[in-house]
Amino acid sequence: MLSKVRESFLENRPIVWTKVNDVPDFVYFNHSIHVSKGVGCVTCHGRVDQMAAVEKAKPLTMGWCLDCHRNPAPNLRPVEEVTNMEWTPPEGDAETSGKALAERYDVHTRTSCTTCHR
Amino acid sequence: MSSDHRTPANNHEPKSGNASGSSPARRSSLPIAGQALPPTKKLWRGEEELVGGPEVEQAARQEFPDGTDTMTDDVSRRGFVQLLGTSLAVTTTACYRPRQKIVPYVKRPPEVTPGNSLHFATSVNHEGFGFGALIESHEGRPTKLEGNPDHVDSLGAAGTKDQAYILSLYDNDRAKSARLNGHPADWRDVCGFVKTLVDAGAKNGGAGVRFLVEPSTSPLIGDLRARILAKLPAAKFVSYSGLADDAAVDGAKLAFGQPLDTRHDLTSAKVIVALDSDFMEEGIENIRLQRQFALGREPGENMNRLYVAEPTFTITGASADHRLRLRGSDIVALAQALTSELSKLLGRDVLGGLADLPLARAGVTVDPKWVQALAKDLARNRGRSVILVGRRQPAFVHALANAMNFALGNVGTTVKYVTPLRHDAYAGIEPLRALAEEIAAGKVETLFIAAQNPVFSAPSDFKFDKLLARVPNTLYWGLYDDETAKVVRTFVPAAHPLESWGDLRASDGSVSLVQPLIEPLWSAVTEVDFLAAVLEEGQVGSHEQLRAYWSKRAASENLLGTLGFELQWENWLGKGILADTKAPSAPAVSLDGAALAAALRPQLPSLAKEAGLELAFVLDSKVADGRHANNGWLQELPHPVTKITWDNAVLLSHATASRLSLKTADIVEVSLGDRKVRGPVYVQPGQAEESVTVALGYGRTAAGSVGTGVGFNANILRDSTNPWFTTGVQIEKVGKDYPFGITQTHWRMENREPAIAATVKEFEDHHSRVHHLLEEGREPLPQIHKPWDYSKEAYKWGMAIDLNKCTGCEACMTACQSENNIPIVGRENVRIGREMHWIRIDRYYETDAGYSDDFYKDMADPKVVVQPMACQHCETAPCEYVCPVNATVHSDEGLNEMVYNRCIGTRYCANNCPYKVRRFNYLDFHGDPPEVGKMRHNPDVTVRARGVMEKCTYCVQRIERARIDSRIEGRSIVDGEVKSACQQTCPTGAITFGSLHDPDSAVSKAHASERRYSVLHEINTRPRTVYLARVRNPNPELA
Repeated sequence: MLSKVRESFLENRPIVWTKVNDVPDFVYFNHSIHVSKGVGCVTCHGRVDQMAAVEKAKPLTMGWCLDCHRNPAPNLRPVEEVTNMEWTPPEGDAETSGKALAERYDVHTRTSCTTCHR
Repeated sequence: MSSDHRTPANNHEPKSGNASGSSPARRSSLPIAGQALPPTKKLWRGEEELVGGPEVEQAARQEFPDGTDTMTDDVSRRGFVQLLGTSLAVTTTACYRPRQKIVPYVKRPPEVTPGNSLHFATSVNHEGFGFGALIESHEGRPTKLEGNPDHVDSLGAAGTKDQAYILSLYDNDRAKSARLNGHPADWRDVCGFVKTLVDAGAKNGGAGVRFLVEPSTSPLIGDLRARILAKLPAAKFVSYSGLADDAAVDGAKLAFGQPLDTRHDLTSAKVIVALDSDFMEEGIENIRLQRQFALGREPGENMNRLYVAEPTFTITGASADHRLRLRGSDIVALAQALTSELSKLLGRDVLGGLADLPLARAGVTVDPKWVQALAKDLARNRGRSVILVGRRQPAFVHALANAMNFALGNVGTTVKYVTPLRHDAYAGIEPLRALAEEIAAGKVETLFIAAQNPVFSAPSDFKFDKLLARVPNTLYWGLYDDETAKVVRTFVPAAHPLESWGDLRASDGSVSLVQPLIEPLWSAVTEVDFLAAVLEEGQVGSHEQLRAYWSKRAASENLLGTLGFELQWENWLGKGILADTKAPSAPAVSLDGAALAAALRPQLPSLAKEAGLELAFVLDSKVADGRHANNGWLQELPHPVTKITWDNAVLLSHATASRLSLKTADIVEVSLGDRKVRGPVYVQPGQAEESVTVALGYGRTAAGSVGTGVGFNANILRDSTNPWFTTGVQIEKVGKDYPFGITQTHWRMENREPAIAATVKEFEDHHSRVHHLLEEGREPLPQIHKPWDYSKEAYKWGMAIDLNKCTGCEACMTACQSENNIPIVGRENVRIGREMHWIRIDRYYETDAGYSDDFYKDMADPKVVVQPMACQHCETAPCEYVCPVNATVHSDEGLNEMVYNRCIGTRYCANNCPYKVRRFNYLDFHGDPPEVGKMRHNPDVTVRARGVMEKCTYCVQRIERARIDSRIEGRSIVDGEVKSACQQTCPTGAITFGSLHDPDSAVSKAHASERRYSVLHEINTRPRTVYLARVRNPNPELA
């Protein structure tokens, strides 16, 4: 399954991927701020480890983005668990532990238009 | 405009000082700041506004110029095709977003993080000298040029032409393939051909081989030249540039006995005199001198004073405290008068002999009061004054100025003379004349040309194109298939400066490296490769050449310190500058006034000019000698004073135009003997009487798709014996109503005073009108709505623009255009008010209100105030209330945000904006550029489509970038971390930006200045951008 990747590396020829998780060109999304504030890969990309072919797991619409930007706590996890596909919130609800994390990471989501549109 | 409104007799109506010519009753009905007090001066922007008339009335009532919102025939045809294309595209892709492919790096370079830009240090060529630049690069794609703060001539700022290199890099019109004797060839073929030529030429030591090169300070090129001359001892290098300043070198030779370059330092200068010197625009020191000038403009004890004498308005003249209109050929009369006044004040020992010289321009008297006051001011400030002379002036004037600077004790403080750093001290018309004579005599068999387009820029009497045809072998290395490329036999495409390896020296001699940001986009070689081909090293590559040269030199001159070459090389490339490479100190100079007088005496006859209309040539502030003609950013930039885009013009004073029965937009034929050109007239306030100014660099015939055919070629009239000022010119009207694309009068000010300026004395008097104006513009006004509470957010963004520092150089406009993907619209669209610049520089002429009974006087000699104007980010923004779709909204940090994707193009916001800073995409201005044209775009900013409104965002992409960086690092954004593009490139530091919550931030301090005011404060928009009033420092003796 990884032979294409190996070929690409050895032949120094890039793989032409099909873009699955695409947002419109007028949307500016920055990964680094999300991972450093405790938003897991799986939160937006889904269980890529269980996908036979990668597909878009979440709608990636503005409303969906804003749901989290208005109330990020349920989607936060410890930064060291960001890449963990199987992480679940500890005892109790995600909301409470998320609030504690939001405080710890000083999470300040913004909803101004220019946060994402420039 | 009907003629009766142009006569002084009928000018009593506008006497009220109301520029739009309406009645006082109407004036008082508007709550306009400052109207309670009688005006002491008035602001106006052009002849038609000053004179008034029905057309002005009509235009004032309209929001936009005629035709802004209607399609012209021409446009509608083109627009239709584009619409058709768009709708076809829509039907084929209507149901789903097109599937996109992504191609990642196989092995990602360690320094690259996709999405994050990198900055690389390099230098661009500034008249042969290195100008330090930092280039922003996105995944290997350069997108923006900024100044290198560590470089002595940049100090972090960059001018319009330097920044525009980004656009020319991706110019699809660049030459893409080599030709060998008219046949397609590659570089290897050319190298082989060069070898046969050199082998043949070497038989007589290269006596028939000539190199015509651009002036250069590059040590590597110096080394190549030496090696070439060792191989071909009888060959010769000739430097030539249309921008040469040979008269200055000659002036130093006359005064001090050897050719020297003049360097200036305005840091300690209290009195600055510019004799036809646009030192803020021309030359290699312009950015640094602007910075030093602005630092000395802080009102107070040490404020400097600028005197300018010039024939036509420049940005230097617009910044002057005293400006004297003087024909270019009469500047010598001022220099002589000043010399003789100074010799009275300083004693005759140095200047005596010079003061006794007969007058070169006997018939010309320069206002003696002006000269005496200036001389006294200079004498009071010995060692703290400086006289600068422009490159158009003859060596005679330069020599007198050198003598005066010497006598005033300025040498060593404000003026320094250094051994020329360029390989050839002279690079102007005389070296070219010598070459032309050799060619005419049949002595040149092989000519290598690396100078920029000499066929276009050489004076027309050389007939350089015809001469080149007589040389058996001509080889030209050039960026474009231009006028010179058309007449040579062999042509080699040049690599762009941002694709090249090399080195250059700064004005102080320090060496900076030139490193490529990208592989040549098309097959091209550097100047180093071109010259190395003569040494059979054409295939070695300029990178290898450069490293080999510097490793040898580093070893012999001990430049490595404790580092090895590889480490030091990385160091140099990282900084862009080689430490410890400054030039040796300047030679000591001394002056013998009597000897200089004797040397100058024979030149007197050549300075006498016949009476009559003077024709003055000027290098254009945008396209220079024509070399930047194919650059759309520069073409669309309004001229800093006339505000003309996409054209040059025949500039005349009002009185001269009246005498010749001409008015603005008339088309005239200008003839000098049997040479003729046609161009449009523009009546320029502040123009010297009986002097016609025409800019060079236009009327290109082979510039490319942008520059060909723009303007008229004034060079056709230019003669090598009188290259800058000449007489005997005839002007005849041949047409009228030329459709200029002028931005200056697109919006109306209704007699308001948006740009406040006053003298030091008026500022000191706390009861003066200016204080009332400033106070009116400061006190908060009551508001019906409860104001938004901005205190909860971490930042409160704001800007301050200091009119006292702004010179109107327009570097900010190009920076904004580059940073924010602003399109080019073309002359026709500028004419109907569709220009897209987010920041503009408003230029106001200012005259004393008392003058108004005679508008000839007003027109003749106004002062100028310039004011950068962009979205003011009003806290109570009028645009936001009227948008029906919430496409323009306010952020909690105070930004007036524009959401392109919501905009449906009603244009209500632009209509309701009192500052007229909103720009609408009437057409698909970006269109469908070639792939290479898309590469210049800043990926952090949306490329706007047709039908969308846009405007200044305070560079929100930079704010968000800094916010993300700071939040990841768990800290706040520090003051100075976010710089808007305009602020970053401003040579004078006139623009400050930051958070108003931080009381110690630069912008908070500026907002607290007593010179601070808001434009249109009375309408209570509460702008976040405030202005600091301009202070003039006139000489009390001339007040």
